[in-house]
Order: sequence, then structure tokens, then C-alpha cells
Amino acid sequence: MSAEPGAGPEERAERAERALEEAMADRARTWAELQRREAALRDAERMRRRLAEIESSAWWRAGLPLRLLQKALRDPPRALYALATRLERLLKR
Amino acid sequence: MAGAVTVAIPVLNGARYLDEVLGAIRGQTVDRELEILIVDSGSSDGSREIAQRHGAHVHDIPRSEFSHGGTRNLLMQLASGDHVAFLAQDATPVHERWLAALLEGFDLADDVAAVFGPHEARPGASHMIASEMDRHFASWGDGREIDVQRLDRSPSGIAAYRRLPGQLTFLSDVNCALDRRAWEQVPYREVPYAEDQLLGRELIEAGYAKVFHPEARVLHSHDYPALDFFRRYFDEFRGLREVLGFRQPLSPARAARDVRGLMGADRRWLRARGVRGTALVRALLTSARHHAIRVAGAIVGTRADRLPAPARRLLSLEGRASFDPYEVPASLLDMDMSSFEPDWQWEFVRRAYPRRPLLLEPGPPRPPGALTAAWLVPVWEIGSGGHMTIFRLVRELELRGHRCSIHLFDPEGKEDRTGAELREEIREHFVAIEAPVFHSLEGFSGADVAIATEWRTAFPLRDLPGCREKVHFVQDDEPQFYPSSAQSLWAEEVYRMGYRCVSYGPWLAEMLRERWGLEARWFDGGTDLETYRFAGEEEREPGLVAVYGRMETGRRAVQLAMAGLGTLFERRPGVRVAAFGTKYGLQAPIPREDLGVRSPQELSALYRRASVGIVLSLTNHSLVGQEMMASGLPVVELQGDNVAQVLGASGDVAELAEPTPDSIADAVGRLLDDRERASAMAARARSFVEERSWTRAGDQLEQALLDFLASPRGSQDGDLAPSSARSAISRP
Repeated sequence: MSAEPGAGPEERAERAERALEEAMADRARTWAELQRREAALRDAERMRRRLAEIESSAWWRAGLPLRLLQKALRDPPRALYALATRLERLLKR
Repeated sequence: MAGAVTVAIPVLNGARYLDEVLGAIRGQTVDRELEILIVDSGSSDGSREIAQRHGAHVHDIPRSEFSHGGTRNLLMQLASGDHVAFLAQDATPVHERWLAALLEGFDLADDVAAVFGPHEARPGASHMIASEMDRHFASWGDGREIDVQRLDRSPSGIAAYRRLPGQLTFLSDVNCALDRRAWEQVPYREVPYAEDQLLGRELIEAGYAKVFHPEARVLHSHDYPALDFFRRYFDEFRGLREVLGFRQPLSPARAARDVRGLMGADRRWLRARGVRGTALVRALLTSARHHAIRVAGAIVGTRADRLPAPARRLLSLEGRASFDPYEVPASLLDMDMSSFEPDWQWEFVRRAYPRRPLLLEPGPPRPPGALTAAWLVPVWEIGSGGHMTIFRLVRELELRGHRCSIHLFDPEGKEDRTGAELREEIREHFVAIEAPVFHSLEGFSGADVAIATEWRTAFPLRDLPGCREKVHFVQDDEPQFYPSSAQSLWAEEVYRMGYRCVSYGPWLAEMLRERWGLEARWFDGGTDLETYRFAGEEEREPGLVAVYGRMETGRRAVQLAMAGLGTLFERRPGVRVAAFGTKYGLQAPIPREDLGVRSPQELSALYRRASVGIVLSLTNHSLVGQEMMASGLPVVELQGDNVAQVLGASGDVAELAEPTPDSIADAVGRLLDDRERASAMAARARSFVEERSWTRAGDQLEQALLDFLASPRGSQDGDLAPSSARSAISRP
């Protein structure tokens, strides 16, 4: 560390201690941010697993016609468009 | 040079490929003596002569003596090699390193009993067969890497094995090699079919390893007309039922899904080879027919026991009429596992042995300043006092600029919510913490200090990485929570792990130091003075006694409190009792009001209204007593070091009773009779709790953690037993 003109050793030591304290606080903040991110990622992974379980269940599959019907009733043009796109894709295959 | 190696082939009319196969064997590059051994069971197509031309040792047996298992045992007996490679008479090694690859598998570990390699479809084989072989052998090492298989006998390993046994048991003696010593222990069984699957299963269950080597490739495939395919699959799946107990589900929906899945796999395989358009459609139609036949063969074959023998003979390609289930003695696949629990809740304790030192990573000296703390907490219920204390102190650390994370430890798998949902519950029902909450310990990445908050959490924390210091946050002497039991032993075991401790109150800290030689600091539990406001004598109902009746917690000695109140009730009229704190019904020899579990606000109102409060503590003193004191309610507690070290002598801030009904009745009676003395004691008690704020508790905890971090312990090697020589710091 370079010497600062006009600053006595005590003052310099005090400044260094403050800087160190700030660095430690910053370190703790960064750690906390990483922990929050990691926790969110773990939650997302957990939700994905749960969703996959639901979607692979017999009950979910059995409800497919009802869900399609519900979609079609809610927005018929969009449902028709989706159906047409799907058929087109199938034919292209 | 290593011992000899034998290549052994059972032969019956195999002339079509035998010359090619034997030529490929003779072309192998190996660093040891090579023996070719044939057992011929009555060939009439010149196979015998072909074998002799290639210098093979030929041993003849009558066709009636042939069996898949028995004949291979005979080959093992006749072979001179320490390792014996088996080939089918129509399986041709693809290159000259085939045998070396098989032998290399045995060098991977001492317990390798068998090595097997992939089969490639012969040129001209149908796409269904080629695609199926590629897929099948990609199950091990993606088909490209060497893969060693062993049975993991842990609960989760056994569960995985029972879910998908074929992943471990598969062995094909179309192309494999056996270690002689292993075969001597686990020979082939004399079963009519699937002898290799049974051998694979028995080897794995006997504790041997099996190796898949991708370089040990052979050309081998069969194509049949549709009806023969059905009969072939009937044979294969009957064999799997006989030796593995496998049963193809009898469900049209499942069958349709299987066929669709297999067709999808064929489509990907064909498209990867440039097949498109009508050629693809035609190929997929063939696939659909083939896989439907396969599934039908599987369904019928695995139910062959329900068919009469003549029908079995008719359906079998090899003309076999029998159904001979083979039971592997004490097999993990056959055992009744109805009570087997792979997710056993105490598995974490079992895995914690043998005893080992606390894993610490002290690193270079840590400068003073904000610290990071990871708290391991057990599952909670709303209203849990212990958790309230933990979360309050998490918040206290946060208010001082430190950062925390909370990790749930849930060995019983009770909690299904995400960390974010759990965090919301803490913020709503306990304290508004900032810390993120993790649903489990998965991905734990460490902190300056990690804190076990209950004995069970101390087990996993001991081995978690990335922590400079590990602390046991002890709110009570938990071994005392249990009668003599595994749990009491295990709770005690935590005291041997070498944690530094921060305890609730000085009694516990002294016990940890004196009895267990641990380094222990303490904090004084605070009280929420805003909720528990002081009320004077004028607001109180004469004769009303509020009693903490939490039946769920044995150490609150609720029955003793009720016995004392029974005696009191007999002695004097005008006593009324309000019991609270339990979810279950109370039983007591007195008329009373059972309030159940109530909110802090409702309890505060009760404490301001009652004339005497009873809270009994057989181990560490209860915070409920402090809340009563904050409300100006004169308290009766039990006499004893655990209480007296905090509350002082009887009459200082609480009336202390001997643990007898009479003494409790006396103590309550004294407070009811002498209201002046009771009021003076209540005022002293209020001052006592005012000193013990959560801010003070936070200061005490913070100081303890910073002190621990400032004086790292270094290596913990061998420091497992309690040691009275360890420093005992006598400050809070």
C-alpha cells in the first residue's frame, strides 16, 4: 500500500481496517447473492421434476381430451391454427 | 506371461458361420496361450471337421445331453484357461483385438467375474434388429466406454436393482468371458434357457463385478419370418420369467405405448442413416409389425406357466414344452420386500459410522467483519418455539450485517414444498428473515460457519464441505428427550463429534463442558416484550391459574403440574385453571378450561389476566416462563440446577417447587395468598426478562461465532472422545 501524504500511521491503519471491513461485507453480500441464486435454481429443478411427474401420470394423460376441448372452446381460431400447424408439420415429416 | 485363455463354443450344425468364426479367433492378438475348445452335440453338417481343421479341441456329447447351462459347465471343466471366452457358433469377432478387450476387463478389478461385449447386426439384418442391438448395448457406458457393474447393497442401490435388474444382471454368453475362480464359486445352472442371464444375476448378487467392454464386439444377429420371431421371443421371455421372474405387463395401453416407443427409436435410427419419405414409412410399418409381435411374444412368454405343455411346445422355436422356474436362493429380486424401506429415516445415522472427525476447512486466517452462516434446521410446525428462537437469531445476525442461509434437513421426507415456499412461511409465521431457504442439503456449498440446530442435523453437517467452523446450537439436552433407546444414544453421539457449542442458557453450557469436555458458550433467551406487556395486580382474576400443559413434550412434566393442581383444588375453593399449549386433550383430576394451542397475542392476554402461572422444566428452562414473567404473571417452576442457574433462588423471580404435587400446590397457594409478595416478585421478574432481550441474545451468539472463527482449531484428527482438557470458556 502506498503511503499517503499527511496521513499518520494510525489514520492509515484505520482506513485499511475500514477497507478490509467493507471487503468482508462485500464478500458476505456476494455469498448471499450466490446462495439466493442457488436456492432459486434448486427450486426450479424441483418444480421441473414435480411437473414431469404430473405430466407423466395416467390422470394427466387421461385429461388430455378435456384440456384440448377447453382450449378449443376458449379460443377456437387459435385452436384451429394450432391444429393446422401441427398437421402441416406432420405432413412435412 | 499370464495364464492361458480358452475360447469355448458349443456347436450343433453351425457350419454356416463356423469357419469364419474360428478363423477370426485364430487371428486374435493376445499375449498368452490360446486354446479353442468345441463341444459338439451331434452335428451332421461338417461342423466337426471345420473345427478340427482350425486346430480346435473337439469334445463330443450326445444331443440328449445338451443343455445351455450344463454344456457350458462342461466346457469350463475341459478348458485349460484361467479365463474362458464363450462365443455362439454364429458370433464372429469383429477384429483381432476382441479377445484382448475381453481379457482387459478382468484387469480392471480383482472382483471381476465376467466381461461381455456388444453384438453388431450382420450385414443385411433388418433395421429393427440393428437398431435394437445399438440401443441395447448403449445401456452400458453409452456403448462407447468401458462400464463396470456391481450391486450397490445400500437401500437405494437395492431399490434401483429391483426396479431395473437387467441393467446389472444382463450377461450374454454369445460373447463373454468368465473368470475360472468366480465360476468355481458360481457355476452355470442346469436351466433350459437364459442360463447366461441367471449366471449374471447370481454373480452380481454374490458380490462379483461384471464389465462391459465396447471393443469386444462380435457380429451376431438372427432374422426370422414373422411367426418364428414370435416363437423366438416366446422362448426368450419364457426364459426371463424362469430365471429373473420378469413379467411383461398385460395392458393394451402399455403394449401400444411400447410399440410406439420402439417405432420412434427405429425412426430415429433410420433417419440418422438417411432413410426418408416412402422408404421410411415402409420401414416403419415393418417395425410396427415386428414390435407388435415382440410385445405379444413377451406377454405370452412371461405367462408360459399358464399354458398347457403342448401349447408351449407349439409356441416355442426350440420346441421346448417345459416351464421350469429357477429360484436363486435368498435373491434380492425374490425376497419379500413389502416392508423394505429404501428411504429409511435413520439411514443418515447409519452412514455416519464409523466415527470420523468433523470435516473443517479453516483456510488462512479470516479478517474480522461480516460472516456467512449456514443453518441446518429440522422440519418445523407453525408455533414451534425452538424454531422461533433459531429464526430470531438468524435475523439478529442479519441485522448485524452477517449473511445467513437456511437448509432444511428432512430425513423422513415430510416436506414437499420448495425453499421459496418454506421461506415465505418463516417470514409470515416466525420472523421476517432475509436468508434464502434450501429444501434440502443437496448442493450445500459451505459458509464461514455452519450451525447444527438439532441433534439429527449434526450428523450430516459433520461431513459437509466448505466450512471454516461448525457449531452445535444446543437448545436443550436432547438425549434426555428419549427413554433409553437408539435415539437417546444417537443424540448423545453428537456430543462426541467435536462441535463447538452455543447453548441456550448457562446450565446447558456447564453440562456440555463438564460432562462432555466441549467448548461451550451460551446465550440468554430473549422475550418479545412488545407482545408480552406487563400487567399489574388490578387486571388479574383472583384464583385463576394458567398452566403450560404441552403434553407432547414430556420434559414439561404436565402430569406433575396437574397432580399439584389436583391437590390445590382439594385444599381450597375458588381455584380455576386454564391449561394451554397442547394439540391433544388433557387429562387431569380438576375442572378446567383447555385452551389448546393459542397465538402469542391470546397467550399474552391470558398471562395478564391470570394470578399464577405454572411452567415446569425437567431439563432446560422454558421460554414460556419468561413470557409469563414479562406479562407480570408470578411463575411457579421446579427447583433444580437447570432452573436455579438462570432464575436464582426461590422467590427471586419465580417460586420454585420440589417435584411433588404437595410442593407445587404449596407454591401456588403461597402466591395466591400473598399477593403483595407475588407482585413484588413479578416486578423483579419483569426486570429480569427486560435485561434478556433478543438483541442481547444476538450479541452473545455473534460474539461466540466470531470468537470461534478467530481461534481456528486446526486439525481434528483423532479428537473424537470427550476431553476434559479442552478449554472451557466460562463467559456467555
